[in-house]
Amino acid sequence: MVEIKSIPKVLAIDDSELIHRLLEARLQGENLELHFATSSEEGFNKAKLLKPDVILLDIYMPDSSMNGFELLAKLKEDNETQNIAVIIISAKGEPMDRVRGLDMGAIDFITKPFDAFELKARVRSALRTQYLVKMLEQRAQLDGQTGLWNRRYFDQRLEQEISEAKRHNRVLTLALCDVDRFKRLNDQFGHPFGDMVLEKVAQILSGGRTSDIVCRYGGEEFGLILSSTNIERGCEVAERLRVAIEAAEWSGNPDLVVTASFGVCDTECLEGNLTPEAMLKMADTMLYKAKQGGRNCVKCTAKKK
Amino acid sequence: MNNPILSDFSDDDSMVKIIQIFLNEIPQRIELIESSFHSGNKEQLCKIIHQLKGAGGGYGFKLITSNAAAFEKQMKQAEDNWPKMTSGALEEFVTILRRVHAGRDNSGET
Repeated sequence: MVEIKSIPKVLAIDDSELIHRLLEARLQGENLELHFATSSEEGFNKAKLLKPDVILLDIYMPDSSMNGFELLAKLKEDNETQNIAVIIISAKGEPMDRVRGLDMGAIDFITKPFDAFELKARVRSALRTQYLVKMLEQRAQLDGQTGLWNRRYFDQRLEQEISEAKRHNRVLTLALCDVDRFKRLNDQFGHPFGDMVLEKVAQILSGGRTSDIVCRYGGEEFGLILSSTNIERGCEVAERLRVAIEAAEWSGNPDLVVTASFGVCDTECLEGNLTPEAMLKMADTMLYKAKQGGRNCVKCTAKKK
Repeated sequence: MNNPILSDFSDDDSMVKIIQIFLNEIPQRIELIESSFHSGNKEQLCKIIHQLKGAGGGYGFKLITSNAAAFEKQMKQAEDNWPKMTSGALEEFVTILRRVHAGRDNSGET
């Protein structure tokens, strides 16, 4: 569900081709993909594009508009690059340079000329740390019970997706799903069964299209962000999931039918007020209609004419 | 005194190819160092010296790194009369580079 790249990327930003060749020779055989930039500007652009796990950053780059420290500050200010581990790799070995770099957010410092074994060990150490940081970040965004993305991630992602949809003039559909009469299921069959229902519904919802972002919105409610999907297609997706939930079998309760209601809206129904709050409110209104309409159904906003 | 200098890594298979490239490029670097010096282009000269200081030892030529460091230090200390103050260091550094270059045909030997 959540991607942690199997081959980590390392970006070396150094104005010397001599160092590029040396790094390539010394890091060959390591489990990593090595990329290069010869100026701070190119380095910043590649960092944003490639999203490397580790950057090896030179300090003295006289032909660039920024030196290594200035680039480090820029990388740490940018949301997309601030979590990349930076190892300063410099021939300037003064202690104050090390202190400055580490205080600015670099995680390590290697002095040129470097020892090949030390270089490899320090890069491996940085990659291990990055892996653990990513895993922790990921855990903090997951719902412990269902393994789906949690509400925090949902809120961030919905905002991002809406902003992308606006920028590229793309349509986006949001579906809210609520398990019907969940309290009654809990009361009748006990909380462990209620937990099992949530886990199974989560499994069904996340078994749809790989591009869909499925989150636990809270309690027995789930949110689905369907990128580049219009209301018609979004309703088809929701209907298919509704049918799958209704058809699910429950061990120990062969006659039980669990159902869910869906409220679906897309960005086109929110002319002039395209915000996450407005979209959630609209999807929630449609969900309310589905509940009022007898549950176990999908209610969608009208298609824009 | 003018014996060829060989790389500490000349028997390291992963390094042989890039050491050869490094050695082949030395005449151009000497030319650039000398032309920067004679034209008074201190910025360009500092850049080349700094790069060689950082890379030399990595290619197995510790003498390049130590001489470049000494040269760089003199360049930083010298002010307007830097060409006069550093001409000895320049000569010494270029000699080291020529000795390294002279070792190119023996770079596979230890």
